[in-house]
Amino acid sequence: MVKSFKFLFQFAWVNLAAVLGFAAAVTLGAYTTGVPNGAENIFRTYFGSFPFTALIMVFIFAFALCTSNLNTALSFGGRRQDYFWALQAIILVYTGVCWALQIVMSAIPVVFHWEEVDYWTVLMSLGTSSSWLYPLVLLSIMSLGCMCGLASARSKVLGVILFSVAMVAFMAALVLLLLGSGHTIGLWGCLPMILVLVTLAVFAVSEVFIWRTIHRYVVR
Amino acid sequence: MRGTLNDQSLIYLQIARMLEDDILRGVYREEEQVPSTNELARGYNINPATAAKGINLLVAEDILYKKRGIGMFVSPGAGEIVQKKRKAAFYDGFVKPLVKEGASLALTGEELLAMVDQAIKEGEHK
Amino acid sequence: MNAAILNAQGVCKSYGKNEVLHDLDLTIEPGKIYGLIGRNGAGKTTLLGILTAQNTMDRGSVTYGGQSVWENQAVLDQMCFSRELQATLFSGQNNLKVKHYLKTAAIYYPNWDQAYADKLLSEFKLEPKKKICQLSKGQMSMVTILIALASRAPLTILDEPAAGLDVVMRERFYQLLLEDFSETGRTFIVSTHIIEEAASVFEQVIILDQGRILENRPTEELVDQFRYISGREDVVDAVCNGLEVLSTHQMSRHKTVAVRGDRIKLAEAQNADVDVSPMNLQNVFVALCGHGDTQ
Repeated sequence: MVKSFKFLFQFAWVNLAAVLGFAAAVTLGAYTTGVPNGAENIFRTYFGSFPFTALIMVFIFAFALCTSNLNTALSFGGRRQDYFWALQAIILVYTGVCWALQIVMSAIPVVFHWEEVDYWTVLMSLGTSSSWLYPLVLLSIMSLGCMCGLASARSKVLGVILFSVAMVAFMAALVLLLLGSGHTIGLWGCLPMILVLVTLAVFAVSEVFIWRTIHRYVVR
Repeated sequence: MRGTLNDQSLIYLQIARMLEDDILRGVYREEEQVPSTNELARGYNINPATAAKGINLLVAEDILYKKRGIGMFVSPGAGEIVQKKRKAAFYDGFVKPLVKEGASLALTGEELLAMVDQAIKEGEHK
Repeated sequence: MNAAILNAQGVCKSYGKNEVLHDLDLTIEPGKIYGLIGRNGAGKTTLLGILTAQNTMDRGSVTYGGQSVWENQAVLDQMCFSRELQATLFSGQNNLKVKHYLKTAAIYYPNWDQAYADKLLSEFKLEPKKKICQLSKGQMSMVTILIALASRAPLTILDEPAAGLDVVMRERFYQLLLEDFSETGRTFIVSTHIIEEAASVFEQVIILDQGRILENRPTEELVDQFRYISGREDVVDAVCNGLEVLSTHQMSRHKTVAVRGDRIKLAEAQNADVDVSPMNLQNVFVALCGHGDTQ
């Protein structure tokens, strides 16, 4: 499994660096354009919406990780189960890094006494490390991304279908995070619970699809 | 180097024949080392196993012998062995085809022998 | 080197309704250079994929040293299957850089010889920073060859390594292959269309035809069983009694046949008023697998 992990990490670390770099750029941009003092500009938007931007980025990375890399890994004699678990490990690494990043980013305004912004509810809600909703959503979105990548490698049509499913899943994730940020939780009743179950279901289904696809894959 | 092999007979036989020719020509003298299997393989771009087969053929006929750890050497009296071998094969390899070809040209036995005589005389003048 | 036997038994593989491999048996003994030849569509790449667990099979078993190859890391570590590189993959251009491809090889192959790889890299004048889709066909073949040789895997398989190479590079490839073999004695299986050139490199030849192994024997032994016999048709026919006739070509009364038989019968043919000439591996292959397409 180590071999497949090393192989995938060749590509993953570049993407992780991109996420971290982007976060740093946004934070620096916010700082230098006076956001801490209440300035309303593009950096304020980027900073606050970073949890969502990160979701989009990891989806794309997960997708790209699963198109041709499976073929390459197996053609070099990698085992299928090893590739599967290496993929899971990479997903976990991404999740860990992004979660930690969000916690840091939500701590910055508090620690450095930035002017409070109403719209940053989701970001602020991630400041507590007990906010397990975010990593759950990350895992689910990435799993979905991998599944879409594998599917599109098999057939473009299937890929498009699953991509549309992914868009719907994104909406659901957005809503879930908004609700989870404690903003309007009372008004929506059991919807949050349903969405959590849906997220878990998406994760489970994606994983099953990934496992099956990898095991039946024929190297070209 | 490769060009000296053709597809008229099996490669290992050609290798053996080339070594025999070299022995007759004095390229390799008695008790001298001949190229190793790997050297032959490299030289003619052939599989070492094929080269080995050619060498082993000559070893089986006592034309070459093996010195452990060093390589293959020309046996004493190898020249005579090769000549004897070729004389034995001369009938099948040269005489019979000559007669067959002569027959297909409807040459009589006397005409054939006269031609052989002439060729011998021409050879002696050179 | 690990001297293990690769054994395939009863291998069946179908793509949809198309049965590509039928109940195929194959034994690969260690320490030889094998040539795998077969027509397009005979199933060579499929077979090689199955032998290396990169392709799934419907029925049958493949073992290496007695152990099943499927998902077996210990066995997979002993193998290298160097496939033809493609400029486009299903997901678009093959954007992988040569250096990443080589690094991947170093990760996966436990016996990877980096020094050898570097030497070949400079000999082949390959640029590590170039993407695979930017390489010429010849350069892609060179990458395939580099990977296979530097892998130093006890069982190394090359699929069409000479495709796209000019004749000078092909000769160099055979040279490198033989040098490596002399040094390491590892097992090679080379699948190729360029038969006659490579024939002297193969100790043993495997002929795959219509999903079955037609022949798997030493090259020279196989070739020695075949002859062309030509002459007047009635004489030729008489001589062919007791020999297996594979193909016939006739121009008015001149008849040429490709025959197969044992040494004694073939030697007898020499006595008749016919021309008896040997067939090379390419001729043998066409005679066996041509299926009367031409002539």
